[in-house]
Amino acid sequence: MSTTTTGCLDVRGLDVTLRSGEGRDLHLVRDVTFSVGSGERFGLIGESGCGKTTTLMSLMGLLGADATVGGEVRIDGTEILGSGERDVRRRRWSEIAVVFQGAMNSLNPVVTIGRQIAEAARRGAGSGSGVRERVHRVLELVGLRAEVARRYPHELSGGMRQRVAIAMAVVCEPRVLLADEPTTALDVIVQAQVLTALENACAETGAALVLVSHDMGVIGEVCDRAAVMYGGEIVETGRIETLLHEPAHPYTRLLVDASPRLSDPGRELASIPGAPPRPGVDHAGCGFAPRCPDRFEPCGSHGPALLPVATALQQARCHLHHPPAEEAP
Amino acid sequence: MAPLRVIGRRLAGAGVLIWLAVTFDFFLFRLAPGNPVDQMSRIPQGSRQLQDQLTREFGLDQPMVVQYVRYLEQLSQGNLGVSFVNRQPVTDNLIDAIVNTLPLVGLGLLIAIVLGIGLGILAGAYRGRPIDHGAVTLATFMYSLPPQWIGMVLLFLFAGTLPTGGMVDQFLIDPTPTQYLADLGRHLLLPALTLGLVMFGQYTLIMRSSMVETLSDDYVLTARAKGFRPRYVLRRHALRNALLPTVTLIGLSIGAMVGGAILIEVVFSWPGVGRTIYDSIVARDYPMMQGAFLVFTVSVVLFNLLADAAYSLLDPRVRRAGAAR
Amino acid sequence: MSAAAEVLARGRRRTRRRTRRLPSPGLAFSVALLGVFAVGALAAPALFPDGSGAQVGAPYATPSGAHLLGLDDAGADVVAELLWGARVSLLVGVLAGVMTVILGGVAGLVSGYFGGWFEALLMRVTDFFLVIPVLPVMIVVAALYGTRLVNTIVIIALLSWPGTARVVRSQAKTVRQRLYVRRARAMGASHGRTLVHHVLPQVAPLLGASTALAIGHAIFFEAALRFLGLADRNTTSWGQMIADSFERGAITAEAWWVLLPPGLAIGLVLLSTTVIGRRFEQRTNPRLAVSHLGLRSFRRAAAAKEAS
Repeated sequence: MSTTTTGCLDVRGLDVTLRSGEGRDLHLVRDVTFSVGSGERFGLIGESGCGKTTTLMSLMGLLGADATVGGEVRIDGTEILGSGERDVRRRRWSEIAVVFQGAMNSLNPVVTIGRQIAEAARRGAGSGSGVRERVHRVLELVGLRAEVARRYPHELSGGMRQRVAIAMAVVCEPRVLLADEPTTALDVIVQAQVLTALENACAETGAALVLVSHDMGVIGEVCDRAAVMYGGEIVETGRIETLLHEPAHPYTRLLVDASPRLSDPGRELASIPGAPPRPGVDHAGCGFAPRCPDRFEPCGSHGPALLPVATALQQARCHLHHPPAEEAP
Repeated sequence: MAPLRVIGRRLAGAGVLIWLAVTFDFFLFRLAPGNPVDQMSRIPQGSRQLQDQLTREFGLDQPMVVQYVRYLEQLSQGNLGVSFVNRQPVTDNLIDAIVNTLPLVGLGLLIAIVLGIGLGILAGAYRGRPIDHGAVTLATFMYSLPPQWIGMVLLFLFAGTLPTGGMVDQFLIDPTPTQYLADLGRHLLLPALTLGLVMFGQYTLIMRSSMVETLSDDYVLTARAKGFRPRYVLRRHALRNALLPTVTLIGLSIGAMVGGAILIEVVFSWPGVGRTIYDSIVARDYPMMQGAFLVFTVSVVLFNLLADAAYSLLDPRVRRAGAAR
Repeated sequence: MSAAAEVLARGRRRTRRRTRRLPSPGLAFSVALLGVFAVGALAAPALFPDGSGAQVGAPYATPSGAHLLGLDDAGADVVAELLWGARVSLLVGVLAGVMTVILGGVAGLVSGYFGGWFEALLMRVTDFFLVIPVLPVMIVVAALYGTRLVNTIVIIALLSWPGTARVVRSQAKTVRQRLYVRRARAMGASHGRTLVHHVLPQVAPLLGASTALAIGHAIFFEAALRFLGLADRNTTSWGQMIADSFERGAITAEAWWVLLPPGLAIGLVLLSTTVIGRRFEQRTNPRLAVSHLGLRSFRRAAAAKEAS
């Protein structure tokens, strides 16, 4: 690998296989590698079913017993995969926290906001003392008044609830913050508030952020770097500006064309023809080949590798940049 | 105040239901084929004099509307007429019966709730596993058995070990309060257990499906992500939410419970409201039958109201929302 | 991973149908069981031509090769009683069940499809039945109107139909909103035609479920009325067998072979109708699969609807 920097979160060769009900193995995530530094904001983009949520769940250790997770995941240099249930539990929230997709459902409907955040706060190091103050501080951090602590989830709007979820996630000042589609089902203005809250929360706590979204616009607004996932693999990774303006992989290009931009709302949106592959089903050659406009001879038979494009910072998994002949055996 | 308005509306609803039940009660007995007095004269001790008295008492010579108003009037004064059998006011007889039924229904309900909810949690937690299949099959089967038959099987199994009928031992002379209570408890055990076995099945089924729903909710996942022990997550986050629909069901199941109680009181000769309605059928004691029927209906309405109240205490969405959305 | 942790992890996989469905002890078993009882009931006159109550030996004779389930208090073969009793129990069940579903189905279809005042009225009526304890009403009606078999059947049906009406109504209401029904109407199909060709097929599985559940329901109540002495004593039924074994000392005689069969028969038939009914429900609406819309628990569905 050309990236030598060691980040706050290091994921190397992550592989997730799920044993399905019929006893078949579904290879949901293949060889996913990325690294996020302290305070850095990293995006994972892709259509639904591309393995981005599965990647997050495996980082949290929340996949069930019939999922096998391989590879390495380090937080500040310490390997966390396979460290045992107790250890994984201890790390949750204090070192690695998550904001889930369902703004409506990720809060317990019968417990007040304050008590739910306080419950989370006790997972951290300085448990016990000043929990109340910490609850109020994180609420403030995401732009909510302290009074919200006394309310129940159903009394808040979707955007407020999602900001509460963010506040709850950073109350223990985790090293890594994962966010799974935090703005789905929110309108544009509320979406902006939630993203601002997310940025503030990360800036304040210095957490490394991994933001998962299907929306290129959201990623572009928040992240420094990003990886594009397709069919369980990273197909391109690089700085966000590069991905937006000089995408190397045809899929990235199509994703960019398909997403609306605040700066150019009148632009005609393209759509990506065809349907995403069925998750976990093995294929010969490049997974994107059936939908690729630039498909050529080797794409159907040889799977491309993730290799640097132009600079070492940008990598793509595409024969256009690395025809099979050039590839190392 | 929004909550007061909710309570007011619930009370008004219950009031309307009780009025409807009372009216239903009235017409059920008046519209029976033949002259009610003819029906009544079929009672064993029915004399000419009794018939005349009854005709006057019920105002059966008056038009239906007048009868209805009088019926309501008397009812509001707690007057349900006089029992044909023991010539005591129906109300007095019923109060005794209600006092006797309460411990039976109370203990039976407790057994059903503990058994039903416990098994439901287990089934929900291990859904799709053999333990789940076993629990669901057992619950459905127990729920399918006739209550009277369950009572008889228990009688068969425990005859000799536990008293088989009545509420207290007639031959216990001058018992101390402790002795009395112990004796009552021994008599109560089998009928209450029967009621528990009759009722727990449906609680198991609702608790199970409620658990399955709740465990797939995102806040349960969030709680796990927070790093809490699974046991804590189950207890603190899943359980309370899963209990909510069950509370409603328990309230609504009281109608079925009343049916069960009648049959069980007959099996165990328990001198409660159910036994009263049975005895009044046998003796054709219409005022008693009408009164006991009214007690059942009103208690079902009241119990539903109670379950509603419990639900709104447990669920902040109802407690605070103001409207019943 | 501990067992409880796994329990929670499993919760996430909400799309797994197998966990959302109530496991059932087997549709085939249920159908076969009902079949055996039905055949037995039909074959009773051929197998035991002397009818029910014919004395063939000493009272409470224990089970033997000649009489598999022994003899009852009158010295009658319990197997004969059981099969002759099945005729009445199943007849009451099927007739009352079908009547319930016809009444409830028509009321539910019409109110769900047309809506309006009829629907409002039906909802009020079913609300009322929701809180009326069914058995006491049956007792009173049976006591006042007489205890002939036909009365028993009519009473059960009259008190059971609102449950069916309620579930059919909500299904009909949903179907009415569907595109193809609206399209059929827009293309000029009459209400009658739309109901029969488009709505009815969608509601049919629910009617099947209701029938199965109503049959079990009716057998259950028939047994209760028998036990309270509010049914025709000239015929025997499973409920009557239970009542007889109570009144005639089967418990004191420790004659378990007399006591157990009728209760188990009722339990097994109800278990089967519940399993079959549930399966029908799942075909109508997979979400119903978890709510177990039995007739006796239709109240809960109403409550759940209110709470949502």
